Amino acid sequence: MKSNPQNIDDFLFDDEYNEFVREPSKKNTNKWEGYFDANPETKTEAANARKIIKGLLSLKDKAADHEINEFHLHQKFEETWGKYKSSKSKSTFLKASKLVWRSIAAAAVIVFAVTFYSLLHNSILKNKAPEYFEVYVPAAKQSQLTLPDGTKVWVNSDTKISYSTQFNSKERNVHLAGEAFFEVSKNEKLPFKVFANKAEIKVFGTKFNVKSYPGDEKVETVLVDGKVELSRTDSEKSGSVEMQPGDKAIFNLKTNKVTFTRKDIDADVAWKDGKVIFRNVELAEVCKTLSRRFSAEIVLSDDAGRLLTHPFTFTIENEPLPLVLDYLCKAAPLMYKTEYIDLDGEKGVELIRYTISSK
Amino acid sequence: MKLINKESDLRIWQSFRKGDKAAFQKIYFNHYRFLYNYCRKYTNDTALVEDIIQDLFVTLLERKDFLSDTDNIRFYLFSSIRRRLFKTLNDREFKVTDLFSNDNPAFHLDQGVEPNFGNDDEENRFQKLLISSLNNLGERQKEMIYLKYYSGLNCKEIADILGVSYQTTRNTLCTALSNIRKDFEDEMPKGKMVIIS
Repeated sequence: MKSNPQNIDDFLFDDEYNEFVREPSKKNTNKWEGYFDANPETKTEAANARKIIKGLLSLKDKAADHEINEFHLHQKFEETWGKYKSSKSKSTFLKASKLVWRSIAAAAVIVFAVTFYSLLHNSILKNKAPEYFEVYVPAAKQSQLTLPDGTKVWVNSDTKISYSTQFNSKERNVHLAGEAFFEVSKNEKLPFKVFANKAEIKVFGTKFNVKSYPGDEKVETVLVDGKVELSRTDSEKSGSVEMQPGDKAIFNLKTNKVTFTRKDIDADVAWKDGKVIFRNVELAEVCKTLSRRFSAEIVLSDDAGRLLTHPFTFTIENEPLPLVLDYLCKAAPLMYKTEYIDLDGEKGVELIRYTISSK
Repeated sequence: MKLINKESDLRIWQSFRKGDKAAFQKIYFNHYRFLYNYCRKYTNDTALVEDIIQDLFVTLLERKDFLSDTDNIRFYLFSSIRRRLFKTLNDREFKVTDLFSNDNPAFHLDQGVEPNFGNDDEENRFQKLLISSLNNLGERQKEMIYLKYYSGLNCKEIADILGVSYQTTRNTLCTALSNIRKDFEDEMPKGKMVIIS
């Protein structure tokens, strides 16, 4: 043993003894018991030192507790994060514009080449295949874009949207995998069409939301304003249904049946204003939505099975994920644990996995 | 108080550097109050303290790609917050306090550290005594005791944060502890003193 404390001052200043008082473990307990057996005369000194060390460790600094409450701290956190986000987008914009200037010479050459090439080609091949623009918004992000015809699109997390070079000239077709809210510009001649999985939604000028993530067994359309027509793309004898404002149509891809409801449609479009409203949504669905919104892996453990269909009703706005999970665990007999997953084995955390289970 | 856990600190720090909001949030909530409390020992201006902490965190986020790894986040944050705080305080306040040769703002332990009254009378009495004993210490001694026992930092880290040598830190802490002990002389049951030659 390196240290050999004898009197109270020795003990007070001994790092290992401090450690033992602070966090007794099996190992250091054995060690100090052995030491006291061999040096019984030091026992009283050690006990006295222990009292002081304990006292120092239990000191409370109440400044923050008095002056900063939990709510304020969360606000501060979001403010800090927001400040960083806005400075980041400014700097990427600057970076991008620098890049643009630098590459403008090269680009001029390429544009010229492409124009020349397509002029040549267009004259030979009248019906060339259209090219596609694709927009992808990753998980935990949301975005808004304006299409060439002036239609505004709010794109939810983990969503892909594509349209062709002929958009607004020959057609107004948009392909959607994910969720988006459309505010369509009026154009009686060119109908606006959304293709989502095997559903086709035809509109003329209106506001509506479509949710159709790959892997979902349904396509949900919520009509806020105007008129839309819903039909199938995989069948020749395509019957269509017309929706009225306030309708929500759930197209079941397995049974090919469409169910109408007029309940809670505000909850379905709240995401575009930064909110997520759950009204009687099953736990499994809640977790799916949360993992997209926060770009996190949320796993439901097997023993949560009975609670999979437990309906939850709550609204989130700016709350961070751990807080939301805390709510869930208070509302139902659930608990969750957090794991840091290291995928490349280099001690770098790749992702955080939240596992929810029954209490 | 659960003390710094090096391994998980490194992991959290690394995923924060990769831009993970959840990791950043963990860092923020685990350390905010400690940083706040520490700064409050130097100034009563609560808005200033909040601003400085926010600046620190925003800078960390903006420069996360250039930061080095650390397995001790508390230490990392304390070193930078102290520099920032002093810079601001020195810029801001008129240098009338320069009666002391020491340029540093003064450390007021009593701005926050108060006796913690519970149900146990004996415990309360001990706490009160301990705090008055701490308040009798020199400024440096107070600060070192605070950093070691309340903030959970070790001698090496305290030396780095305060910009003094390791030996000086050890000596100052040692003297501080034996001063406290002297105040408790009457409290302690006497054991047999053994003198080792």
